[in-house]
Amino acid sequence: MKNKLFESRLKVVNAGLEAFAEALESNSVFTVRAIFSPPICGDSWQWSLINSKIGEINRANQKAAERVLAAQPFLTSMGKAIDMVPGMRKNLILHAGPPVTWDRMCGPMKGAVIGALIYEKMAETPAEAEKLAAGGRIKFEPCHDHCCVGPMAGIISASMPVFAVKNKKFGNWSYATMNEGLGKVLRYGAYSKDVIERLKWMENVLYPVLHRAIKALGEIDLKAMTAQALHMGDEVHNRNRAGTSLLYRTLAPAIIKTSNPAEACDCLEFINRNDHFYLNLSMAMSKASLDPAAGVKNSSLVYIMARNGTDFGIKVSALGSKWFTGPALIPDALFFAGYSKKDAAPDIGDSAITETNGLGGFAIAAAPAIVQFVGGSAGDSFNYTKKMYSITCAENNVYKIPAMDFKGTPTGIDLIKVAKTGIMPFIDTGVAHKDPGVGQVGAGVVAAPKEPFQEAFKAFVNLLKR
Amino acid sequence: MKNGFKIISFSRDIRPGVYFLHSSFSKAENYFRGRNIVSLVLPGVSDGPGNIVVSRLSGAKEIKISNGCIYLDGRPHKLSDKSYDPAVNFLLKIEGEKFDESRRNLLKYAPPLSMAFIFDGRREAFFSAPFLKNMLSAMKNGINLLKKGKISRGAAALSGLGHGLTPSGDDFLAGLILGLKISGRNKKAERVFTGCKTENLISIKGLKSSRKGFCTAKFKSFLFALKLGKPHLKKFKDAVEFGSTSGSDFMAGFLFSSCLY
Amino acid sequence: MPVKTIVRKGVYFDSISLMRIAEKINSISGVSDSAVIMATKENKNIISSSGLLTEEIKKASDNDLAIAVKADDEKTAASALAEAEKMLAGKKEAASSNLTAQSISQAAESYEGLNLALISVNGKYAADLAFEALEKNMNVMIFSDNVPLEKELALKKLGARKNLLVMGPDCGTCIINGAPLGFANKVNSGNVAVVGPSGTGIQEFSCLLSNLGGGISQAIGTGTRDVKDDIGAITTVQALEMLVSDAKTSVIAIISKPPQKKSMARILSAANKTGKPVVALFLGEEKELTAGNIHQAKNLYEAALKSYCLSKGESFNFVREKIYNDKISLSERIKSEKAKKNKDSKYLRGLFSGGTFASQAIRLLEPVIGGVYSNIPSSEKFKLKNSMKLEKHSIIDLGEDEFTFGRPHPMIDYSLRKKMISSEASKKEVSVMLIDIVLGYGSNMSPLADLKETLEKAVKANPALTVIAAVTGTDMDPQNRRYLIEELEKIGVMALDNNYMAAFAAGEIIRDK
Repeated sequence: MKNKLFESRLKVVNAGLEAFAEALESNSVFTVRAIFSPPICGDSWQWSLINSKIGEINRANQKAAERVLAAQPFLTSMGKAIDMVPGMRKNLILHAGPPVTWDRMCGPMKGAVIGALIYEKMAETPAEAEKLAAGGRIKFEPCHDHCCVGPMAGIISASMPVFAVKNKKFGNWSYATMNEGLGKVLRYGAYSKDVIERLKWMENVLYPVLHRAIKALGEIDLKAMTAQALHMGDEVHNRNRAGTSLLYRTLAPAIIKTSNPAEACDCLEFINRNDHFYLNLSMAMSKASLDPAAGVKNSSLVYIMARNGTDFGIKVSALGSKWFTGPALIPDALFFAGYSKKDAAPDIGDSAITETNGLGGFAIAAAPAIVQFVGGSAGDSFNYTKKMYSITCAENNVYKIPAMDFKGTPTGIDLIKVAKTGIMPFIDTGVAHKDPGVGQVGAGVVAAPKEPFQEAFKAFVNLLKR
Repeated sequence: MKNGFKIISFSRDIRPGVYFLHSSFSKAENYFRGRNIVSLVLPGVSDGPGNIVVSRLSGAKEIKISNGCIYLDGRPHKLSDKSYDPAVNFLLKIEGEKFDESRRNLLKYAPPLSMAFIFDGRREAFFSAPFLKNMLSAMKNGINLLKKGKISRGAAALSGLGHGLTPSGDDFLAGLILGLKISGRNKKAERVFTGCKTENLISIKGLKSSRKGFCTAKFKSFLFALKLGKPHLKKFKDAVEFGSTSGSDFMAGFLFSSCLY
Repeated sequence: MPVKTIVRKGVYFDSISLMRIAEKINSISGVSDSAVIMATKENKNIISSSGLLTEEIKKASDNDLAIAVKADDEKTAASALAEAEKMLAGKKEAASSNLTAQSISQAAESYEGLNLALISVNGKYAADLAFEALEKNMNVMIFSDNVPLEKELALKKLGARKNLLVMGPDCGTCIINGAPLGFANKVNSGNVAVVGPSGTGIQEFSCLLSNLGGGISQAIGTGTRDVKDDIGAITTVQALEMLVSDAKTSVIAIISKPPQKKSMARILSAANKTGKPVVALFLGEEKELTAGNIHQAKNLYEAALKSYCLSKGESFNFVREKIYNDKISLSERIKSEKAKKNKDSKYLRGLFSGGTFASQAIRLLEPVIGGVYSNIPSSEKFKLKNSMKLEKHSIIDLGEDEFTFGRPHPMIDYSLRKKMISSEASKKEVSVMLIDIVLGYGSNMSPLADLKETLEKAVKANPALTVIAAVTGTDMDPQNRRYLIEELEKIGVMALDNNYMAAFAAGEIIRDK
């Protein structure tokens, strides 16, 4: 096998000093710059250990990723949280992100808790609700630890109706509430009378209507619906218009058949007005797909990424149900007129579960409209998605990006690859105002913070040692 | 996201209309309409006549400029609040110590094949190969015609002559015209301009700008410093940008304007 | 003499690209004239009067690019044009904004045909990147140092198995297929290849050769440890084997410090097998090694001269004559410098950024002026206790670890050298100061501006002082070499383009009659 370097056209990849790349280019040499960044953690001893076990780790990751890719998430029914959510109690309030205590909660989340307590009739005024929340009788636990997911503040209380999604392949379930709409809503921390009234209407009118329709349909294949949405310009995190339209199309005939015209009209109108109605389902579907990947020995696959407006948390397959956390960052966003970074709340919501599932920011190349909205160009969207392939273990078998020749989205974040390359998963997200009840103030892209991954890395290495 | 396309400033001499892609380089994109060129340039390149300074290049095939807005392949972007006035609004005669210092700097830094040889015959040695020797002859012929007062003929002889995407002679004449304009010798400037018959649109952009007494921000900064009598080596270097030959040839022509009577 | 032309319509290349193409064509030996020019009426007249006009160019217009080449024979003209074509095509790709990738692997997956990885990241990570590159079937140049020895050995063994070159670690200079990699100069292309662990040695050799009128086919740096027995000259031998079948290479030069025993044996054996003449410089090697196709040289100049002679088919008489003539042409200047000296002027102080130049100077000067103190002395008894406190005759390598810790390399950053120049110049007993200035890619881009004031002051401070600067470079380098030398002379510095001659001159000025 002769070395043909001297007879070939020189094509160089440069890793390191920029001056060298410039010198080559000024001599008309084809030059690619490898943007190298050192690992974000780990000394050489730890990396040696990882390298020596890399074969087992990769095999374990393939196993975990296969579980994710084999998921069959179906929307099968609805019910009240107290009846459907494992471990739900009257005095339990579920929230987005990793565990957090009342005093550490950010503004929007506190506002949402207050609203929930008033909704549950456990308090009559906001002041009462605050006292109750701080008192100690109300327990706060992550949605994720009860098979649920919630966008933004992600507050779920006992009386709230939830969608029930079943992963038919493995038999596990996940739950999420119905999306209230935009602006002054509970998930952004609003708790005024309209908010509570709307929640009541959803409980008393929307929920029964949808419940009957879903029963009549039997089930809705969420994976197929999401795949189609991806072909229509959605990434099902920040852009859900196509998904919502497809859902509407599926539900409408069933709703009309099973409900009286007035109710049917109101409910359809409600869904029609909310471009993000599909979001809660894409989140629940993603959680149902990822949960079976937990507990695979030696697997460094990240199966949860979630934020609560104070902390960012992840869970890793081999490390079971332990949360690894670090401070949540403020997204680099395009702010709506009149707002700026100083108004923003830190990253919040369980919606990062979509990215964890190879959707959202990871599929942004399928949704160029979003990139423009957040200040980039269509070309930028390709680069974002492309970057994520370096830190994932698989290409999705169902979620494909038309503009990239139907390449599968990067799925299955590998903790080891993240630690090694320093390329952080990125999430495209809405940004909430840091004060409760104001609403969304912008949209942008945020890279996951390093600390949770550094902590998880340490624990992973310790596990390997044994 | 830091990669958003932004318009940072634009030159006030740009006229509305649709322009089509002419050429693109690592720091600039040129669009033409008839015989006019508008350029999108990166911040490292100067504000200047016909230039719009942008945060990054657009990749657009076609741009449309209308009041307040520029459309890149149909996508609108608001024009910046910041605008650039390309006109040199003062008179300046380059003579004496100001001239000497600039001439010395030019000789120090100009690349081998630039027209700076007109100020130091030893530079003619750079034109060593047979082709280059012939080139040098033709250039000297043009210069002599100019010196003898045969302005249009001299300009015609130099127009289109020399190395570079914009031939050295064209850059030289653009500098010469500017030098004549800002020292108040408008008639002479016109005579030089009429002698130029290049079809190279980018050369034409430079010649027309100089004819109107316009120049880039970096060059204007250099002129200010000259007028105020302040030391100006850095501004000189910025104005000339010794990376390619155009700047040196332009400066040679500019300085040469004081040798024409 | 045949003329060949290309015309490119409606494409725009910036002036710098056009200049590069012109330079490239002109540097090809056998080309007697060329033009790379926009086909305006005036330019076409010049083309015509130069005998370069063809029908193709006649028909071209203002917005077309015309390239014409006149050469000794059809073949040379055609290959010169082919080079130009390549550069025209290459430039388009490079200009389409920077090509980037997230890692070496991703680069290999996204871009076809990548055949070399140039790695200059922190030594901690360099080896991993190099393994990655070898996995993807790329040759590797590792500029980084502080890579563990075991990793270097593992890399080179893997490279040898896969028939891929591992150049480095601590490899500062390569020229592959005419392209400068790392710290390298722009030199003529030709039929001499050079291999070795010394970066600055390769730089000076390639410049001397180019300035003589010869040219470089390939310059392959092997990394500083390659010639140690721990590594066993794996890369040197591999390079020699590759050069056997390289049609463009007729002469091979090896520039190195003396290899250790096993490595030396392997190198000599491989050199023998090449079947091509080999000029070997093992700086400091006492043994006589000239035998068969191997011609030994004792210094960089001799190496360049012998290589030049072999490449042009001339006899080595030229070597002796040239060195003799060079020395003669310096004699007047040497005389006048000696005349400046007073009774205090005694010592030589050499401040070098290139270790090879420092070593070469020490070896040349010790027989002439006696023991020379250094941080890299020829024998232990002349080791400086404190590398910054120079005594008697001293020559130091400012690129050594004690100077570079926490600082950029002295080839880029002159601050330490300037300080030492000033302090040494103020000492009455310093008679001659010897410095090197290395030009080329990667080095300080404005050496004159940086050094001018310091040197002016030094010369003023001590009128009896002689400052000699050896400038390594060519006229094609990004720094303006011609002006640098002229201006240095104007200041009163003896500016030479040759480290050997500079050391020689220093010795002559110092020695008692």
